[in-house]
Amino acid sequence: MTNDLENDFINLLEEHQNIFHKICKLYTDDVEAHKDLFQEMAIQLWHSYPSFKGDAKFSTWAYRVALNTAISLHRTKKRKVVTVEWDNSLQQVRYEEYNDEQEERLRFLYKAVRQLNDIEKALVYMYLEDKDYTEIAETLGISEVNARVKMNRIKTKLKNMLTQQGGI
Amino acid sequence: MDELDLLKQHWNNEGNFPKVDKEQIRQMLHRSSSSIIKWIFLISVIELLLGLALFFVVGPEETEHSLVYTVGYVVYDIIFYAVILYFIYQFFSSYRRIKNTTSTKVLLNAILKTRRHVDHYIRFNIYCIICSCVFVSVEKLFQRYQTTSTGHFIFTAVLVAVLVSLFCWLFLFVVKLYYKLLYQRLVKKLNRNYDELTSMEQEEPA
Repeated sequence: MTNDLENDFINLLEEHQNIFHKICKLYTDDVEAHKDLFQEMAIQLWHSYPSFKGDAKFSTWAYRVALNTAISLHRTKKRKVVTVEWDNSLQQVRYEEYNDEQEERLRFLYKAVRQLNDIEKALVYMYLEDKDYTEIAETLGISEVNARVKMNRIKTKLKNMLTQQGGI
Repeated sequence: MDELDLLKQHWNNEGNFPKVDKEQIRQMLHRSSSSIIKWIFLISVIELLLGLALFFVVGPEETEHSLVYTVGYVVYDIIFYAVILYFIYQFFSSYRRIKNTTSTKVLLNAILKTRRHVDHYIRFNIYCIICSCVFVSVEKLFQRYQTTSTGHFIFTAVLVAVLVSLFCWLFLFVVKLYYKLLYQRLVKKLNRNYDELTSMEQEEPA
């Protein structure tokens, strides 16, 4: 692969990195796991980049590969994985520290979402990203009707979880 | 407003993520992947090679055998190699179909299908080893039958049957344990997610 291709890819990944951080936040519980998943997503995206056709939006193409990495390819390790060192600012991704009441409610919500299974998390991610049900269904490989049904069940499930936890 | 809408409000303004710079991304791209597929591929190739190696180690003995044994062995050899080649072809062709750009369900199915070819291969090898044991034992007993008394022959036959059964049982136990410890753990997540997607499709929408 040429350096030009690599540079193009790096520019796009840097520009759209929040997509991957958001997915990492739903699928991981701590900073090290976040870094590990982010790195694996970058590798997987790079491997598939030659198949990316410029006529589609990079973000649309990339989030699907990133979700597939989180659901199907990434293995949660017990041992420490060697990852590229980042700035300590990742500590600012507050996994557990919330201050006021509004943030306390969000803490409960994030905690509840992290308790969902991998497929449910993917549905929640796409819902939060305002993807329509046609795209959600296509990304997961299920029917649109089932995507809607499942999403409604997730909402109920979350509501019950939060009621039990006394969060909201 | 439901819970997810509340989260959505915050989600869209979520900006306190770290900034990974270009040089850090470049370093990541040159790291080795630690994906499940990579491990499945490595383990599968080792298992495929091990199956072949085992066959060469447990090759035919340089002794005289009956015609039935010799013909049986040649037929067995031909079938064995044909099936092995078929499995190896199936494994590599399905491995090439694994693409992380497809839908999640298709991707999961492709990975599990690739792994299933290796499962069948392992199963086939186990049956072959058991068949070989039985085949060789019967041949040895047949040779002994011609040179020994009936009483002694029956005793030897029972002893051999017990030992072969014991060996087969122990062999199957070890293989099952190996699968439980290594392989099941590796594909547990894939199976769980695939089952989740499949069950969603099987359920009648409310």
